[in-house]
Parts: sequence; C-alpha cells; structure tokens
Amino acid sequence: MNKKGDKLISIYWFAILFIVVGAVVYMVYIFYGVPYDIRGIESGVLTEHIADCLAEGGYFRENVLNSEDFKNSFLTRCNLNFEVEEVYDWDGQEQYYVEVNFYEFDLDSSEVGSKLNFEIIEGNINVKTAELLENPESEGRSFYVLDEATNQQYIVNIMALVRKTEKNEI
Amino acid sequence: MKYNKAQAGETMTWIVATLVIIVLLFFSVFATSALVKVLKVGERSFPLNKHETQDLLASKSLSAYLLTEDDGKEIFNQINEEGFFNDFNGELAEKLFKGFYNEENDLVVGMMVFDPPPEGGGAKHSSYFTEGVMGGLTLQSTSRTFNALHVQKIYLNENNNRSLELLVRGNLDD
Repeated sequence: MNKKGDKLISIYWFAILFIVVGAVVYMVYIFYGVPYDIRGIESGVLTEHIADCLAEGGYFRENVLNSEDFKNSFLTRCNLNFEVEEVYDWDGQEQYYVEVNFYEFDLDSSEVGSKLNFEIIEGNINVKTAELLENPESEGRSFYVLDEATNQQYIVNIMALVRKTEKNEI
Repeated sequence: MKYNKAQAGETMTWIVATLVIIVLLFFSVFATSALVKVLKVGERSFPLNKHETQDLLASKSLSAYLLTEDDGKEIFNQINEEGFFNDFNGELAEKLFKGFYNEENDLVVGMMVFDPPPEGGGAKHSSYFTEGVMGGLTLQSTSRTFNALHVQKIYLNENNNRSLELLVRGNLDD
C-alpha cells in the first residue's frame, strides 16, 4: 500500500517538475526571444571604419580630399563590401547607405563651414529616405581633420545607415 | 476511519500545494509577457554605447585639434608653453567639442594635473580640471561634479604629470 502511494507521489513530483521547467523555458523564450536592434552599432562601426579610411593622426590620408579617383573607388579603397545575406529578398535591395560630406571649417562662422563641391555617396538612397522619414533630425556624425599640405581645417560628416529592418525589429 | 481522514487531509495539502505552484507560475508568465510588451523595440537596443570609453571620431578630432596651428605654432605646443588654454584654442575647443554628441551629452576638453608620483606609487590626481574656461564652461571644482566618461587622454610632457583629457559630460545613465 505504501509502495503504491510513494509511486504516485513520485509521478506527481515529476509532473510538477516538468510544469515548472516548461514555464521557466517559456518565460526565458518570450523575454529573450525578441531580437536585439544592433543597427545603431553596425552603422557606428561603419562610420568609424570610414573615418579611419579618410583620416589618420589628425590629417587626411593621401589622395582623399577632392580626389575623383578616391570617390569612384571608395568601396574598394576603404575595403567595404555592401553585399548581404541572401534572405528576406535582400538580393535586389541594398541594405546600406553611406554619404560623406566635407566642410571647410570656419572658427568665426556660426555654421559648420562651407560645404565643398565634393561628396561621396554609396548604397541605397531609399535607406536614407526611410531614415529621414523616421528621424528627420538624423545627420550622421562629424569629426575635425586637417589637410597636411595646406593646413586647412575641415569638418567631415559621415552618414552611415543600415536598413536590415526584418532582422532587427519584431 | 481515522486512517481515511488522515489520507484525505494529506491529499488536500498536496492539492493546495499544487494550486499554489500553478498560480505562481501563471503569475510569473503573465508578468514576463507584460514586461516584454512594455519594453519597446528601441529600448531593446544592444546596451553597449553607454559603456563605451573609446570614440574614434572624438580621438581623431582631438588629434587634429592639437595639430592645428595658430601663428605658426601647434596648439599642443601652445598649451604646453602657456600652461593652459588661451582665447584661440579655448574657443576652438568649444566650437569643436561642445555639443559633439547632442544637447544632453557634451565632449569637454580639460586639463588634468597630477601630483608628482610618490615613491613606488602611481600618479595621483591633485585636481580634476584646473581653474579656467574650457570649452566655454567654467569648471572650478577640484572634484568631479558631473557624470563623466573618459574618452581620450594625451600626456603633455615627458613626466606624465600633465595631460589633456577628453571627457563626455552628460546624462550617461539614461
């Protein structure tokens, strides 16, 4: 009689154990199953990579400023590859957009400076359009740099955007 | 008869215990679901930025700032010789670094002076930002009066007891 009771109690304990484990697994899944949005980090890394490609030690690298050759081979010169995974029909739609603008720095001016007639644009312009619709004040990041030959001061603004919405939103 | 009553009592205890466990589990699952709904997508961004202590763009700007020439002399040498910021390099620092990130988080260029290192010991802060105007901000405190995140340090002399620091000032805890 007692043996039968013990058996029942064991089954009961196992049942409770499975219910508790199941509930904990479910809670962890619903909490951590939501994807992290790493687009900000990705665009930050891209921005820093481009900045490093443009300038080093406070000065522009050689043949960067006003160089049509650099502009035309920007992706190759900066070792950038905008190809993405073959998922979510991304084949025909680029997921990145990069825009680099150069300004002559003027300490006395209230503005950043006068924009040069030299800009670098790569990637999918629709990514920028979508970003500006969502964040109208989005303007990328800027840094201060010198031209070693002329000692002229410049501000370089880099806007690096990543779409990849499907992978980063619920 | 007595034996049957004891059995019934024990069974009731188990049933109540089971119910308590199930109710607690349901409550936990419900609370987790509610929490997930409250946390929006934007708030689930990867929490790395506020722990970041390196900023390549800020460092590049600081390098260029120190190499900028005024009357044929680089700002690095100017600060070293004059001991502190002057009108030109102070104003330039303000324009470059104030509001570098956004309205809430500024970059501040400041100067740190260390006491001579004690024998066998490391350098010790004698003051955090000496008195003066830096980046348009008058910082007279000898201690940290604001929440700051160290970004870059450049030593100004060979004894390593005088350095130029780049700090983020602002709401870093948000």
